[in-house]
Amino acid sequence: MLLSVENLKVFFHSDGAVSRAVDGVSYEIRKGETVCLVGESGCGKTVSVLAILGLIPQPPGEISGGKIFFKGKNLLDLDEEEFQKIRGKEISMIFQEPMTSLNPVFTIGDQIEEAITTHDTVEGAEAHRRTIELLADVGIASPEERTKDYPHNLSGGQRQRVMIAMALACKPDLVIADEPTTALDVTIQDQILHLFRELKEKRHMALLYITHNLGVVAEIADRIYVMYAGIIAEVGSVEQIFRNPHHPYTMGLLASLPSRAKKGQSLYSIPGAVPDPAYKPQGCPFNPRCPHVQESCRRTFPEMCDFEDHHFARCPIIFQQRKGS
Amino acid sequence: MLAFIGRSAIQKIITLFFVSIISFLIVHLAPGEPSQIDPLNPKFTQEVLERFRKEFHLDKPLHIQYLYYYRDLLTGKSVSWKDNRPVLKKIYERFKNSLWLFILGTLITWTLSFPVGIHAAIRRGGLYDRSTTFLAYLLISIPGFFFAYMLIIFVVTHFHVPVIGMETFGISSTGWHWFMDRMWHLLLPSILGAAGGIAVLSRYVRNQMLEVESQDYVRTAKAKGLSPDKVHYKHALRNALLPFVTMFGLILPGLIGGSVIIESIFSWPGMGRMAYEAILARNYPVILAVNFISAILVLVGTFISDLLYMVVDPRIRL
Amino acid sequence: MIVMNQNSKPSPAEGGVLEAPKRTLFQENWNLFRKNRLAMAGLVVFVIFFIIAVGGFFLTYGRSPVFDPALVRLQEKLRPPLSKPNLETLKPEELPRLGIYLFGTDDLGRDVFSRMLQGAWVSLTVGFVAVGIAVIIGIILGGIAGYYGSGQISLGHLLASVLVGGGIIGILLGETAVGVLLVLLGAAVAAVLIRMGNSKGKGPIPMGFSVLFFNLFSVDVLITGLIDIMLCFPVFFLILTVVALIPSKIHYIMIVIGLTSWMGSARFIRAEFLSLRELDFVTAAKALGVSDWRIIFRHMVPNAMSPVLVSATIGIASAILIEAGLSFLGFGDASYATWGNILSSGKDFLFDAPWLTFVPGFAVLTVVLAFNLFGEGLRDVLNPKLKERH
Repeated sequence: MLLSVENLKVFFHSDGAVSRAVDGVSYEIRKGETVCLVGESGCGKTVSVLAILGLIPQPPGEISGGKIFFKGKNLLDLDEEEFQKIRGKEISMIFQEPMTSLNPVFTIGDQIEEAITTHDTVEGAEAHRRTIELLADVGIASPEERTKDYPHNLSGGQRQRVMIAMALACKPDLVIADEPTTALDVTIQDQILHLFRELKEKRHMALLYITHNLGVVAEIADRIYVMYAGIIAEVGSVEQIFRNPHHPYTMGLLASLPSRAKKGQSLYSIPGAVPDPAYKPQGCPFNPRCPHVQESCRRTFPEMCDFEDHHFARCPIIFQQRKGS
Repeated sequence: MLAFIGRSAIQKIITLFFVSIISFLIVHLAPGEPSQIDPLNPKFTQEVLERFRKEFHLDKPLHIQYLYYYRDLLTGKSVSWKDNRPVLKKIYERFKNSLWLFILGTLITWTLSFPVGIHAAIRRGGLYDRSTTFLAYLLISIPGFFFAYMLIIFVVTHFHVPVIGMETFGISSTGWHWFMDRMWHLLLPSILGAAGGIAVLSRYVRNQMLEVESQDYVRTAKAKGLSPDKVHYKHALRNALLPFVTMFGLILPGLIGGSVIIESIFSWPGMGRMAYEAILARNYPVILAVNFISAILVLVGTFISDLLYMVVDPRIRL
Repeated sequence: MIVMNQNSKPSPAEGGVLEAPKRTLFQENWNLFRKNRLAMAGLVVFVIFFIIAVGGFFLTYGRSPVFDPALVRLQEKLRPPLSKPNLETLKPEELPRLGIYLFGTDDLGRDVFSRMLQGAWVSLTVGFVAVGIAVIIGIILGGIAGYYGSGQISLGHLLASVLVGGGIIGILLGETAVGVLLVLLGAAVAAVLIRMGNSKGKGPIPMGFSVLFFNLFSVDVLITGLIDIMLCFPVFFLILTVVALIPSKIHYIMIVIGLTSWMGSARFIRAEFLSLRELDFVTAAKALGVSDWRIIFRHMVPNAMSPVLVSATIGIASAILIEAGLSFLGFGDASYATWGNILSSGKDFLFDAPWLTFVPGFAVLTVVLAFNLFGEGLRDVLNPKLKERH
């Protein structure tokens, strides 16, 4: 087991209210595995991975509970200096906005070399050579010249490739990609997604991929965690989740995919909206929007139910229906 | 680049032209004439008055006066009405005195504001941040003359040194003693001149730094595993400093600003005092010249800051 | 093997709140504002100052006010604060109303407390009137530049306004005949422009007149140019010059401060209008046939007000400082006691009568500080970007 997040809780304090952005989330990633974290914006995906890298701004954020085991040690016990040795070296991260995630006043060569020299004691020439190699790996044409470019000289897709190269600089065991294609054009999205698949085959790294796009998930994931309002709603392999979803939220998500709509039918959409993380409904957080809602859903928080081989969903109602039939 | 310089130069010259017209109109349309400033003075007989009016073209229509005046100013022939000395020469003498205050004040402002602002931003919400914030507000809000008197009382009663004027009267003009005397006289007005600047600039540095600290690329730098020092002082600071490079251009107008109030309190024979005396005496050539030169400095300053911005920010290429 | 923590139950919401409480924007802003202790202190001081100033106006107003700020008692000059009046040398009506000189007396034996009361009113009105003028000019010019900025100014417009303006200046200078002639000429050009403009498109404009419709520059260029010109003047020096040239009446001083400090508001309003103009609710209002006037004042001004409100609050602080500075230099209105001229009269007695410096000095400091803190607090609350950050 490379990474296992156990019952992580991250709360934000603002204006007297407590936003429970991540409210008891557990997930795991094995070596070389690609895991997708799926959910609508605001469901706590990004916050949960920022916690892994110790990048939650505190205050207003606060890690109120849980453990994050990476290679057997709990990251939450590390001090800042120990954390620095992990960031970029063993776990690295690619952010959503390539346009703003690169520092505008340094050349991209400088920024990648900095990632290398921070963790490896290598000479400047060696770092430069590796930088060029990395840029070539992520599919940047004429990498030698590009190292002297500033971020504003590059297109969005190229910048995201640079971000990827930077994340790979120290051959990390785990790469976290937070919606890396969301801000890009559709055609570029596809290229970047291909790049990810290529890289994960070549480098055998584990990838934690965050997205709200189920189409992307189907292409890249080994296993899927569906998140809703700060909790995990359903876990399973791509097969299991797409063929046989158990949680009403996952069912709703799949039903609203345009590719599943029949001609002449209007597209399905889940009624209602994601609850404010400071004022979540009691019981199951999905209950106000759920077509299968029962009285008990409004009172008790649902248990994680073991449906079949490694396929879990947090919905006892459906669980009883399936077992009953 | 050249096109930008050309366009901007033309724009600034047009602006300057209107500034010259407006300031000319303001002093000339105001009720009363300089020749009437002292009607009781027996020296101002009707005859003298006529000669005075003739000599300074005051009998001509307004637009002719305007042309005469700015021709004289630009050719350096304009003279002060009060003592008949060339205006530019007069300004230059006073400018030399104000320059010391300006240099020391600017040095104090810039060397203090940056460390204070940066540290406040990094430790935002902490005691240091809150106390410097309050101090900054205090410095912005205190009337300059009140602050001046508090400082004078403090320095005079604690250090027993004279602080009024540029130097102690009759002091020998060499040696360590003389130097210290000059420094003491220079220090208070410089601090006073710098006080407001420190408050404004340090707040600005802090806000700028906070703005940058919340940017995505700072998070990227942290995610790379850089030490906090490198994140703050390399990645964030470099970006936060960009706008300040342009401010080098904007301090230029301060050269002639020379605070009227501070120079009056300290009897400092600088530009501000001269302007004040010129206003009291309705000495139009001096008033207009000070106004005109300061407008030029403002315009040149913004021009320099535009240029500097292009030089330092790789994103801007014209 | 995936280990699912079966007990990972989130804590139930405190007090069982299910929904975000419904709050108006004002309540939300007020709640944010209240937490800023410095800004709250500023607000409290501001309210107290306001009450004192208004009270001070009524107590020092009229022929025989409750507190007479102008009553000279030469035998009682430079008495320190809290000192008792000398009952033997004073007539009964000359006694200070409080029985003591709360803040002492000045070099003419005038009661500093009464003078401070009147000065509070003067400071308050100077601040509000000057900023009021500045904001009104700023809204008008900034609004025009932001909303009608793309409108063109033609040669005819320029000609008409130069003629009328020149005529008015001529009349002011005493050249009545020439002035009236110029104004009439200008009016004629304007009339031609309006007539031709109305029939434009219906038929060809006669030769010779078409030159009047030659476009020179846009309204936006005109107004931003004006702002740039005004920013070239050293403000305090300009105010000093004008105040020295005109009769020193407190009303003139307010007007002059207002006329020289509108540039900030104009810029803010212009920038806000430029972005608001593109927003959907304005487009929607236009599509519904709402008049320009109504769009500007119903829909755009309220949305653009927050930066203006902030700069106005801070503007009041700086107007009070400027007035105090002018009074200090002797350019104030001597018929009123102002905090500036109390300080000014105290400068000759710095070591003998420090209260003449410290009482008004601290008063100006406190009030200006309060306005600045209050303004900055407002800025934080009204700035959505900062809201996210905290």
